Amino acid sequence: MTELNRKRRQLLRSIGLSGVMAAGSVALPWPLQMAMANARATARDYKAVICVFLNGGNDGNDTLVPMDGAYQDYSRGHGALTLPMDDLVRLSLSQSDHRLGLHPALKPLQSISDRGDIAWVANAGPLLEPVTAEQVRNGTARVPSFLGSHPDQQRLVSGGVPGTFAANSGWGGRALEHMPAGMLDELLSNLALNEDNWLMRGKFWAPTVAEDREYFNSLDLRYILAGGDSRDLSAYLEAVRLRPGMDDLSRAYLGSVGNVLDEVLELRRVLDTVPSHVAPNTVDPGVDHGLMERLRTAVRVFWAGREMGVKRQMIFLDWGGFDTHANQRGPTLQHHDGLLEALGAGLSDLDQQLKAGGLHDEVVTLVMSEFGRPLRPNSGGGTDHGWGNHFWVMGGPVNGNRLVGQMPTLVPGGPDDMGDDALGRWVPTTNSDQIAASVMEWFGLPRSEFGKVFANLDNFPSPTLDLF
Amino acid sequence: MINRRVVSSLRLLSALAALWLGVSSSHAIDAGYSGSWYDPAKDGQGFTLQVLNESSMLATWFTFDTEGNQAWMQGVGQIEGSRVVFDELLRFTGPTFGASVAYRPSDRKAIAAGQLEIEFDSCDAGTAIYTGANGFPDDTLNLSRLSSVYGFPCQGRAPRERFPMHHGLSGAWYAPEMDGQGWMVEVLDQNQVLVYWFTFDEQGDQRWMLGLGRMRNERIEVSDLQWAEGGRFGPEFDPDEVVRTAWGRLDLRLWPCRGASADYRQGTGAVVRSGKIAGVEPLVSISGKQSCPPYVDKWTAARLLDQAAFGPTPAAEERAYRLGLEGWIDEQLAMRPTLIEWEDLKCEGNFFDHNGMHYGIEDGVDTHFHGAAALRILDSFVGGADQLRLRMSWALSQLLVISAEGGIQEVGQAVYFNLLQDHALGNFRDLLRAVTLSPAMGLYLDNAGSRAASERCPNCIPNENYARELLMLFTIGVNQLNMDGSVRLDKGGTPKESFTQDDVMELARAISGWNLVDRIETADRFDFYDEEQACRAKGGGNGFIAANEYPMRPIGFMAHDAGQKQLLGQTIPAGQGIHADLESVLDILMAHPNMAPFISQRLIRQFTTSNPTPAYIQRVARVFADNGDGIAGDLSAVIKAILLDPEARLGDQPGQLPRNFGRIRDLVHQKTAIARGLECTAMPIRNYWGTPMDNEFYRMRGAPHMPRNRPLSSPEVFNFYPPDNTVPGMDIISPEHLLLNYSGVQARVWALPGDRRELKEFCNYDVLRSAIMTGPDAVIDLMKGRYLRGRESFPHEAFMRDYADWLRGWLINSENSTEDTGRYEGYQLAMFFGYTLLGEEFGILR
Repeated sequence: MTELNRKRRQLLRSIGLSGVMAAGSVALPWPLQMAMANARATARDYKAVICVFLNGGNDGNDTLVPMDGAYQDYSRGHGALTLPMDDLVRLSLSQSDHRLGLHPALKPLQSISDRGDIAWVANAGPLLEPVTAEQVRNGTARVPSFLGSHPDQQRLVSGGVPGTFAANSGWGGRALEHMPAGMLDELLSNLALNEDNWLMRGKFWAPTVAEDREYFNSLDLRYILAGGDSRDLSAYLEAVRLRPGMDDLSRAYLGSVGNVLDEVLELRRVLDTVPSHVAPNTVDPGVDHGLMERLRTAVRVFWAGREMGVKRQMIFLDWGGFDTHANQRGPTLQHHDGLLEALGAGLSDLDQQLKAGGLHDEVVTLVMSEFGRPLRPNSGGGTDHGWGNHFWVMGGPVNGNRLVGQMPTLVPGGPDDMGDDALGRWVPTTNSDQIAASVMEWFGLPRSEFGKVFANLDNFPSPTLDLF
Repeated sequence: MINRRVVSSLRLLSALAALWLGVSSSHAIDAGYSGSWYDPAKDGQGFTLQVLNESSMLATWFTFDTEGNQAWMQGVGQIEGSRVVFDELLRFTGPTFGASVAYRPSDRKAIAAGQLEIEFDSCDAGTAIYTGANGFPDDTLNLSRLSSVYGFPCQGRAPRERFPMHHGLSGAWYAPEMDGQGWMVEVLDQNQVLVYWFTFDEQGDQRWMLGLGRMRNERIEVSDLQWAEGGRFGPEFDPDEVVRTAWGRLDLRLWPCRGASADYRQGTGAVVRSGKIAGVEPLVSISGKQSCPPYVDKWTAARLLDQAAFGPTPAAEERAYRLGLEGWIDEQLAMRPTLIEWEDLKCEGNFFDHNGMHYGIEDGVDTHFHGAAALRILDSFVGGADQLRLRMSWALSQLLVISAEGGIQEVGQAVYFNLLQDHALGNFRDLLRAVTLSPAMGLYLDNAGSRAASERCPNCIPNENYARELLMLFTIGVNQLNMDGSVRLDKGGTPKESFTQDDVMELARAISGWNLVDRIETADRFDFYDEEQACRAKGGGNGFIAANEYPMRPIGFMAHDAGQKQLLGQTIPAGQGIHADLESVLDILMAHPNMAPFISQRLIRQFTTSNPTPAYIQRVARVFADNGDGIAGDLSAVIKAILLDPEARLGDQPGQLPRNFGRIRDLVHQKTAIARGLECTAMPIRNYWGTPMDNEFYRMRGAPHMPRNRPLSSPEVFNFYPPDNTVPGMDIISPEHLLLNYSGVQARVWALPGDRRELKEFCNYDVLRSAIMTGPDAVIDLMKGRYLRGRESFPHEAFMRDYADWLRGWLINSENSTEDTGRYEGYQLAMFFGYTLLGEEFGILR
């Protein structure tokens, strides 16, 4: 069996096209055939994206803080949680009406931003169409369902839009499925670190779920499959072989188990080709619950993919417990302060590792979250669920050191507040899909394909933002 | 209700057929009047009475003729108040039965035998007035009860115990091939059965025998069957003239009904004649009670225990086989909850250090991955008797989520689990109240200490976290639902939302003002290390830990919002107080039309299938909405409806299993089912090998290896997997599919926790080892019997055979080795179970 056929068998396993399997044919959905053909053949048109998803709703109000007159609004609305002006880390931002500072824990991002490698996107969030806060307040706006619900907003901001063609997949996976021919590799182009997710799910294509810890012990699957106990367990495939006539549930189960076993072997082989000095896997995953370690894994996967001639790679990872309903201030990973500190350290390390690996100008990192949080704290020293939030895009290709979009007026009950309860939940002024589309356009997704990838982009005057 | 088979067999009682459909009458005589009756002054003859339905009764009179020959007469009477009127009794003669003659049903002749009227004075006394015919004189008998039938107490006497499945055997049985003769069976208790055999002798004259039998497995053994003669029918009947004679023995194999038969052996000593009557089936049953419950075979018993328990064990299969599906469920519903001990955990574990990492100390050992409460919960899953309740608690713990990952301490987890156990088969409303006030939930979703704005605290805003999840995850969900679980759409095709942000805020106000009983506010609730040290110093008396034990209580000081609230279109009046507000919230939620389909769908997915049909959901939701007594939220009724639904039972016949029915086995079920298959009494994980110096080693041995799936340790409030998770590229839902990632598959391969020492202590290690040492065939038989529901074959059998052969060699080698092989043996066994059970036969719970 040729390399390509073998890969197709694997793919079919994951996407469950039973008739195709049973017939033994190689009829892939044509966009995937096109996209994958000869992906590893030639080199040097290379781009990669990392999506870092801050789980639980990062508090954007404490991430990017005004240092001009608006600081008064911020401190008045934010009460006891207010960050002292003197602690804020000033950004140099060109072309901005605002003076803005970062949460002190994000200090490592200051120099990256100032040198032009970070573009901040203010007050973004999932939208169906452009709306004003006033329209939202008086009930005349069409807004997404289930605002404030973690799973629904995570799904929405990942591109899973109920009631549309995009209901059961994400914008990342769909974008890959609509990339031009010859760019993708089945194993190495669509990856998720540690677990499956909405964003990287295509209509047909599920991500390779990768985990790359270097500790090996006798219960580690990689150790076992590498023959670590001197048993040849290649026959495991017999137990998980798909057979004609199986129903979807069997094929879903066996396909995924078999894929993991296959991918473990193959991904290990791929990562073994990476020199030890590239993003060395020497980070203790315990310190920050694995963020820095996983980001380094992403760098190694990119390095290996580029060497093998894969042209496009995209990795998703979600991290953190940003749902800080209580005790937002504090040093641990249960606190917003502690989370941002680990995030700043992780992203700054990523920046250095990419540079060291010669990938700095080819990789873009998108930092996103399902929603922001109200400016007004609750009675538990934390904040509840909001809507609009600040995203950012980092990397060499980024046209950075800038603020894109509109900062909200930080006044509870003010012009950007979505509710009459005056908690300070901002109505987004930028659709998060516009950010995604901008990154995907840079990645190589033709505009002509936007309609098959993004559900509501047509409703906005410009599908993309000026980020690159 | 009359069994169709009975109607078709009216050949036996053809002349009486019309009466069977008698008009309904008083309920004075109920099924409890069934049994054997006699006149003590005329001992030696008597009646078996079988109440067929509310209006008719079958009577068989075992007696003699005026010459002292045996006679039996039968009739179906109409129940009229406390009286039963038998317009016509019949005697049958003709067919010959014996060693030297052939039995021909067509020889049978019916002879009119008079009329009978029985007037009951009580459950134990009555009068029978007989009007004779064809040589049988009139007579009156003062009846006393001789026996009552197990499971059919008379008038208002409640049954005192649960019945074994065979209590439904009471009634009349016959073989259609030998119509005209048969058996009256009265099950008396767990063990004893009274059997009458009415038949003919070699001359075609009437013959009857009776005896007291014992239940032995599926057989009724009557070792001393007797017949009698000499009594003379009528007012002059003299008991002393009756001569009883041993006839022989009778084995009725009536249960399970498939292939029922009667084996008899007449005579003793050298002169013995034996025979077998095959094709026996029920003729009538008492009160329409199903006399022939669905046959529970190995497959069905194991399947029930997969669906409703944590996997089959040989003993549990035997129990399900014995009691039948419904009987097993009923027995489970009545069991007392297994509760987790936690007194000794007061200072233990699940503290966080300054990096937010778990930090725990137990006997000086680092217990990062221990999770004492989770381990005790797993122990109960493996060894607890109340499997169905435990399974429900496991399901509810995934609906009403709290988590160790959110800082809930070991004691808090244990107390919360016990709370679930207490309410798991009770009413959902009581469960919701208990959960809302539980300290673990108060801490986990921040409702502990939530305060309303008041003059004492002008800037306070109630915390909306719990309020939101109470609506969104715990009770009604985000979409408006139809009763069959489908989403209601507006005209534009968009799902209608079931609540708004305003509802969340109003609800948060209504449940504001509660807090833990102790340590009302902590500055840094995740930094417990110092607390833990202090706790130990005080011998476990730390105040904060105590707060884990007791329900939350009102804070007072105007912390509760006393104003009027508008929740889901209903008004909660102002000023009724914090307790009444909570009850109003529960009223509103329980009455919400979403709740029945929402909860029903979640529970179905936890027990039987990820993709139930709308009709299945609707049938269960109706039971949730009304258990038949007008009560909503009766979880016992709901789980019974889920498990006994026709859709859930289709797969009892493997060929009938609907496509995509079932659920991918979650990791907890994978481990518990493997442990239970080896008859473990607890999860075989005890850290015997762990030392603080050998952390990797410790982790390997100590951790229940179920990433993202450990009880009460969900990474977030949305549980381990979203309940409506779809499989990429497919049109099916499978929440557990999300566990099939790298670490999930690795955990499946590392299938069997524990070392040889632990397996020996908690499990039937010998049965496993002896199978391996016997050879691959024995191993395959063991695996089929314990894990594959007795399946005759499966696709990767050859692979398992090779592996078992290799394992046998490995064990033999290791015995000759001086190395301590215990830990490596555990590893090899784990891999063997992991790979050979990785197929869909075990991986998917159908």
